[in-house]
Amino acid sequence: MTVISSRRFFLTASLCSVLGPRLIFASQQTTAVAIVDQAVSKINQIINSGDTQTQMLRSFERVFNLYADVPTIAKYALGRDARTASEDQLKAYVKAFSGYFSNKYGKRFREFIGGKIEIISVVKIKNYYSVNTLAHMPAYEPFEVDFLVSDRSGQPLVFNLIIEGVNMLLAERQEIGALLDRNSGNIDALIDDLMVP
Amino acid sequence: MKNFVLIIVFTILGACSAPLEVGISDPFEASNRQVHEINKSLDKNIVRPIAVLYGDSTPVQLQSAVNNIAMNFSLPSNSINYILQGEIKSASNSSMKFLVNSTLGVVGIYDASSQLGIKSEKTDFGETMAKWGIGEGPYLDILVLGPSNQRDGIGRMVDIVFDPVGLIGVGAKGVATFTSVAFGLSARSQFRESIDSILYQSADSYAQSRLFFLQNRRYELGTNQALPYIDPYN
Repeated sequence: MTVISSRRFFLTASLCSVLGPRLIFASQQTTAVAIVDQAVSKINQIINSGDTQTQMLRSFERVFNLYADVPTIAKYALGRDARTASEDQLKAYVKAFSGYFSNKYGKRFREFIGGKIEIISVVKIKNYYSVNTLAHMPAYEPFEVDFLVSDRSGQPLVFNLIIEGVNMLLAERQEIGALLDRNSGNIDALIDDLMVP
Repeated sequence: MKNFVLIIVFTILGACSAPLEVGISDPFEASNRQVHEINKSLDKNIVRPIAVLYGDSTPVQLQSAVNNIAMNFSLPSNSINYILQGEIKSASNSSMKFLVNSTLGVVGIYDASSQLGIKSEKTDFGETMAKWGIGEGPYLDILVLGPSNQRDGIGRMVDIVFDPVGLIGVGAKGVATFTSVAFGLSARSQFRESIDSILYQSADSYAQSRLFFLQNRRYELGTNQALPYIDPYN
């Protein structure tokens, strides 16, 4: 685990990145941290903006669209059924999921209102990076939130969140699976359900 | 003493002490689901309305002070559990924190010890049993208390019955109970969106609460089942 203690880390890391392919690890790691750093500073602005819930949810949606790989999250949540869906269905599903996702996780981040998310460390796990943060809140012990970053979509994006050990991808796969069961496996009905706020 | 407790615990848990390999063991799902529905209606009709009223009408500073008192009164129990786990440094940190916060921190209103750099993680008898090698056993949804498992359900009852705060005096016990209920209400109010989304907006609230509890608990205890590796790009 690399502890991020000072700006020197960033300087060293970016210096390393120009020194050659052997140090590509440091470069990818710096990018992962940089992405989360940008996302987190935007989230911090939102939770301290004093905006209304509707405004905040809209701002969170912009942050998610910029920094999260929502289509990959959506497809993982659908699981095996993603393979049986037609291309149009899949497109409509990803769109519906994206709205559902921003609304749900926007509300979750809104609960850190008046608080601050702080990057603590970064660790490489097989082929992605886990950027570990603490969400500080006024009347509670801080929450551990890990942002998992991968560049396999073509650009570095957050593809999973671990909030106090709870894995978002697992939770969403179970939830979407249950929604699909409730609709007897009908993807169009699932899409309709996701559209309802 | 430790051996005596161990014998009792192993007797109670009996055959259930084998650790889970992966995933979820839920042989009591049918009855758990019934308890879950009762707990949901308790939340909807009693806990949530009181929590929202308390959370919205009480200044954050006051809620924070009450929460700090509640956390302070949980320290003696933490300390004893750390001793049972053989974690003497953590036990002494918890005790030191309790002494500093109860005096300098005015019965725990201020977390004075944190400013002095005394750190103490919370623990419980469920964790103590986990450290002794006892597996979590089947998932359990307990009336009023909510999601748990066999080991941690027993752990909670042991923590409640043997809470050393009772030894300080009836007054202290009363304050500890009152503030911990207030802490629960404050948290129910602060995290209402997340909790509501699990209980009232998810397609299967039972399955979601179970997944959240098990993952969170395994993560807290740092067991090898925590944090499964998932790669959505493969």
